[in-house]
Amino acid sequence: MEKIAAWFDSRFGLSYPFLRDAPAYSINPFYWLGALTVVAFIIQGVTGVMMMLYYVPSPTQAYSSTLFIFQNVSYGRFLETVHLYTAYAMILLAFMHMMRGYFVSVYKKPREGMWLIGMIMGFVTLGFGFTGYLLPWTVVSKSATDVGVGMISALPQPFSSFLKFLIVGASGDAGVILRFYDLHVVVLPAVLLLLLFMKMYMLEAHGIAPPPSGLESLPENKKKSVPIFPDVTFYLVELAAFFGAVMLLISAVFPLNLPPEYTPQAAAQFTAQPDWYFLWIYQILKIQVFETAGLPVALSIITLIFLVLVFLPFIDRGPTRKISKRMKFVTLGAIFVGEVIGLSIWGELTPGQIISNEAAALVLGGIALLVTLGSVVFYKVFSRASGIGRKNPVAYHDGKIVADSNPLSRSQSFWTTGSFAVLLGLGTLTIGSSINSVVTLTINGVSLPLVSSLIMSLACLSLAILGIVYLLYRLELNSGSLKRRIKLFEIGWKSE
Amino acid sequence: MTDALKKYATRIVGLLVIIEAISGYFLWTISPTNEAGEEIFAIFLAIDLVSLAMMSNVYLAYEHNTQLNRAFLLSGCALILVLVYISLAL
Repeated sequence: MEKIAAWFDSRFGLSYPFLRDAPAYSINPFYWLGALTVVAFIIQGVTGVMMMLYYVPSPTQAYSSTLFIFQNVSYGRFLETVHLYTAYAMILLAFMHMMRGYFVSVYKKPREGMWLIGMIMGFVTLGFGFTGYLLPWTVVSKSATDVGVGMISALPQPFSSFLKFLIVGASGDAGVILRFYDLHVVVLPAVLLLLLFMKMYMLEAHGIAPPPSGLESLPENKKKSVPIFPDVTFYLVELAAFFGAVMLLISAVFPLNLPPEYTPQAAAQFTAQPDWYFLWIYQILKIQVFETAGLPVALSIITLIFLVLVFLPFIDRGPTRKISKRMKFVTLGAIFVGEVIGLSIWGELTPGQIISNEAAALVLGGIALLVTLGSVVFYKVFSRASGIGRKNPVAYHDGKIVADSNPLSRSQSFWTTGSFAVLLGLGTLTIGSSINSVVTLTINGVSLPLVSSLIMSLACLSLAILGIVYLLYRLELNSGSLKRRIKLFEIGWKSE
Repeated sequence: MTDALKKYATRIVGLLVIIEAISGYFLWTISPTNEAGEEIFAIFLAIDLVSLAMMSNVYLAYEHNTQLNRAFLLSGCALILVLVYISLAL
């Protein structure tokens, strides 16, 4: 037996791990969101290959073959359900992986290349969602894809022609579904695997990024290395098994029902809406100012957002990775997440409705304002709380460094943050209520109950804003830096 | 990990293996042709996976001579109970 094992070892190098040891601090789920995305991709591959055995990519047979999988294939509906929900999980995990990387700034030197490749992998993942959504040929999927393809026409040349040539072709529905199928099962998986290989290679070269606070802040037992087998492997098994169990539970409790087949008549009675992960983009495009002639402007703004994310390592060139010292970028990231979630929920609630410019400004501006305030408070509270335990906590008064006589205790930090959370929640609700009242007033005309509702909403919003300002002021009272900042705008104020 | 805890860990793994075996047996007996069969299949497969995750956790604690992660193990037990309850309700 030993001889056989030695033969295999000498021929295949089994005892030489091809992956380097991982640092102990990385034994934490947040470090393995990318690995979980790969697990989701593997589940996608396995269930997808099983469905390929029965699926026929043609406009006349796509729906019937999908229905056949649902009704006649053993565990067919289960396969379809797991495939769909794992696809959603893959997109969500990829987004969380990206945002975690953003907040802890893993993209900084020397990992800029890894960030670029990761972003391309994110676009490929979205490509999977876009191409796979059409394949069942339901009225929901075909209408949503038509909206997406229609958007391509609004892109500037030569991108529009190139993308149309790549994914639509000139042979009508039959050509479209075949191209989408080829992209979904051949091209995109091949590209993703190639990119994954490149990213893994770079990960081996650079290693796992240390925590943003630096290695010196870690306890000794977190600084050592753990071997890839069995430690990291078993830890990944643990995470992957839990993830798989959750996916199965969701699939069992919410099994998929196939929507009706696409026909032009059915589509005419249906409000086209993309799947949830494109909803925030679609919601931006539905804003009144971007309708028809403004569409290229909206697409340019969305392209700009993506370009900023892709080239982030070359924009945020500051040397520090500490979250406490990157308030500007952390706040911008939080605003981005807030807007994406807000627009997605709003899109789900208003299918097919054009959004007025005022409502858009109120919601987008409101979210940005609330997140910014939340971020400012977060930084203020925790920078004060971090003063606990220091011999001489530092504070500024009238431009001079003085000892802070009254640093926040942990319970004060908790209550202050809690109050802010409640106020921000109240603010968000009242913004939504105000928009609802304004929209209803515009549509139905002025009436006493509607005007009362609007006044009540605005009053609550004012209270929330006043409360937030008051808490901010309370936080600043001792250090006096708010007073200093207000003085900056006063005429005749002189710098010391 | 003390000797008492090591014994405790061995018993947990033994129980998990029994749970895996029972749910594995159920997986083979379920009819794949009806909808409820598909959902129960998913539930029992999920029980298998949760047990596997818990076994990995116990194994790592055993190997490294560290404390068992009680919060994780209790969550796993709670999830298995929820899954069994759902399988009965389907």
